[in-house]
Amino acid sequence: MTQALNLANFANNLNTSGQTSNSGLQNSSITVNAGTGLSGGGTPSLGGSVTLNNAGVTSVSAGTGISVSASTGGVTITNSAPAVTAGEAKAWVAWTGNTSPSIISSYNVSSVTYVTTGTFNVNLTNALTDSNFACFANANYTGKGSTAGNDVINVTPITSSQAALTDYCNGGLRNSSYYSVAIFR
Amino acid sequence: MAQVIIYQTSNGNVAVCIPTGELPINEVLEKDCPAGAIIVDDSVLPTGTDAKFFDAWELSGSTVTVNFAKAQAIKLAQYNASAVQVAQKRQLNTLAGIENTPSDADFTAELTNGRAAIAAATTTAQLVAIANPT
Repeated sequence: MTQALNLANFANNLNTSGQTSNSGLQNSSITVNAGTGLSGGGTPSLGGSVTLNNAGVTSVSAGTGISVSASTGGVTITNSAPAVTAGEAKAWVAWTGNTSPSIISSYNVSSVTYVTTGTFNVNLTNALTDSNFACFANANYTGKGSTAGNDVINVTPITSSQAALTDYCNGGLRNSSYYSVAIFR
Repeated sequence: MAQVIIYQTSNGNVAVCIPTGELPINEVLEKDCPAGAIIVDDSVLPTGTDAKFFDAWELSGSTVTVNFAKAQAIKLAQYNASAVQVAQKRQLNTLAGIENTPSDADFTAELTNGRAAIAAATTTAQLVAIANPT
């Protein structure tokens, strides 16, 4: 079979160097889509250009307790803060212990009960796993930062949500002016 | 005025539960206090010299009063404890050949007068005013 070619159609799309223009092509452009974390893109004609920009993470900096290995390329992020969670106080409270006890500040303590002179119960807001916790207490007879007398402060776990404090001085119970208790587990 | 929770303990004293504010006081009442505990305004609690005799507080309904006989007994116990300490110090002085001041006779008289004053007192203010032996 013989088919005649219309050379005029080719000739109209050739430049003076004999190259075919884009308009003479069936697919004269490509579509570039911006994927995740990128912006830009478009449908440039063949021979044209298109720019894709990073629209996601553009920099990495280290916050408190964190270190980063680099700001470009492969980046390693390391927690450089000491692991203190296990040792953090699970509860603490400070209160005045004189004739009118009042709470100064607290964490995870719902109340302090004044039971008898020199005897207090510290009640936790959220119970701990069990009563195997460590308690530390301080008492100042005349106020914060100064002590008088030879008080012996005994604070012990009672239940998973309660510790009891006693304040002895010269063999008898007495109230000091200021108490603080911290509980660790 | 702040609210507190009070209840009578097994030995007849009054316990005062002071909420920290982390939980509503009703939750503290239920969680930290025995049955029968009540929420009161702290203005109902004894003040001044009455507050110094916490172990003599008694609860009747929602009223807290000071049992004066208990207050006298508390004061006498404190007085005697101080007397023992002073007497021990005087005894050591005697063994060390150091003269005691006041004399033994005056010291004994001071103790007798102090105990008589405690017995004669009618208010907690009078009890507090009686100086322990030094």
